[in-house]
Amino acid sequence: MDKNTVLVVDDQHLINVMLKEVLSDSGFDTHIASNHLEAVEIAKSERPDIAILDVNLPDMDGFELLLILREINPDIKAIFISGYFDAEYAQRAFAEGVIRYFIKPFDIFELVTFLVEFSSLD
Amino acid sequence: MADGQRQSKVDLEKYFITARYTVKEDPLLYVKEGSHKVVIKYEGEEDKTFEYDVDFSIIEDAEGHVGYLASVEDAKKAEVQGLKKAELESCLAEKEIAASYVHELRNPIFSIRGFLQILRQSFNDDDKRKEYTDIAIKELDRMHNLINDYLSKYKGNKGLDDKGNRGISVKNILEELMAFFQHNFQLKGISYDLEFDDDELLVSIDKEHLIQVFINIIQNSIDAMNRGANLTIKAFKEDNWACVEIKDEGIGIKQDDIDKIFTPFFSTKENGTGLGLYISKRIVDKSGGSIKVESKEGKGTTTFIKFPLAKKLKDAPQIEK
Repeated sequence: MDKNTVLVVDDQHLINVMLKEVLSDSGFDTHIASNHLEAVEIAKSERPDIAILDVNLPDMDGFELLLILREINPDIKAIFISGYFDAEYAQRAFAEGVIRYFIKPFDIFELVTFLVEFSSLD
Repeated sequence: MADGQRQSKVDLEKYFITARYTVKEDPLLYVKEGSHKVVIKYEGEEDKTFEYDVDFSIIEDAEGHVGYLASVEDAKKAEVQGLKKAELESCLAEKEIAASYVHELRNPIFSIRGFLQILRQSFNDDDKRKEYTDIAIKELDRMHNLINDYLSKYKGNKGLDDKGNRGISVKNILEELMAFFQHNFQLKGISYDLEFDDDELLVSIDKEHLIQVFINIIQNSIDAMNRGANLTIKAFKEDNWACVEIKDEGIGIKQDDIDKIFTPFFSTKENGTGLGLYISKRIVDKSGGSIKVESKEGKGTTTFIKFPLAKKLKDAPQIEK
């Protein structure tokens, strides 16, 4: 797998722990952050290829965080996760290059399968 | 006039005509205005009191023409209405709070579900504990469906089916999306037609996935079209398929490129990620459907999408007792 460093940002600690567990098991170098400051630190030190972002962080909206992460690494790919589906928000997300939009609670192995396929693309 | 009705000595008719008055541009001078309560009391066998709120204005324009305006409202009725409004507002606020709590339940459900999925992996197929975790996951999904039902009722979500059929309506989703794209259409001066047949088009696919597919395709069409162009979206039933045709009058795709459009990272757009159509195809394929694109350079592109129709509950296999 080429693109195997993943950053997970969710303010719900147990969701972070759970996603780290399953992604690490699948061979991804997974880092977790519970707010935007931690996320920026990890983005700088670990250079993640993919960011899995909760769209409603208490301190920042998914789009704002994605903008900051792209300043650090313009090639970073983003997956949004959210507790609810908002078509307007999704439309904007896809227009801005977000590659997937998962609604909690989702099947974590669907995320894993997607990431495995995605990371082996040229 | 009907018998028994009191004959008035005054010619009332002239006071009950509909009249319109045009006020000159000159500002009206308000000589006096005020509001007060008028109480009418009947003294009889049964005391009855009527209370009215009366707002009254005497107006006069610069030329000294005088007029009167009066507004009369039943005081008790207004009081009752005020109370009802307050009750309604507090009820809505309570519902809003309840909805936000219910919504928040999705986070713990997601972490529990995820851990159960991880746990499940560690058991062999014949292990009873694997069966138990399956049950727990199914029950969590049921809980999540209850939450969705509650929230969709609260929000009046049209996307959910209520006729005993499983699945969501392709037509409703497309209509909802047109509303969301309205601004883009206006901005680019693009018109659109929706042509739906009468059949119910219910499909068994996640609502958000379906929307993801349509957004990707419609956005591509919008990007490819110039002012004055038209987008036609047809949705119809064909055998056991829900078919959607999205036809734009855009710049079209080069014949050499058509085979590549579903390839990841292929994009003809300057800022395209090249993932939109690739992901759309993955979603459609996974649902058991198909997607294909026909295009002529300079004429436009048509995307054909087919989803298997959702099975009606009554068609589902029955468990024999």
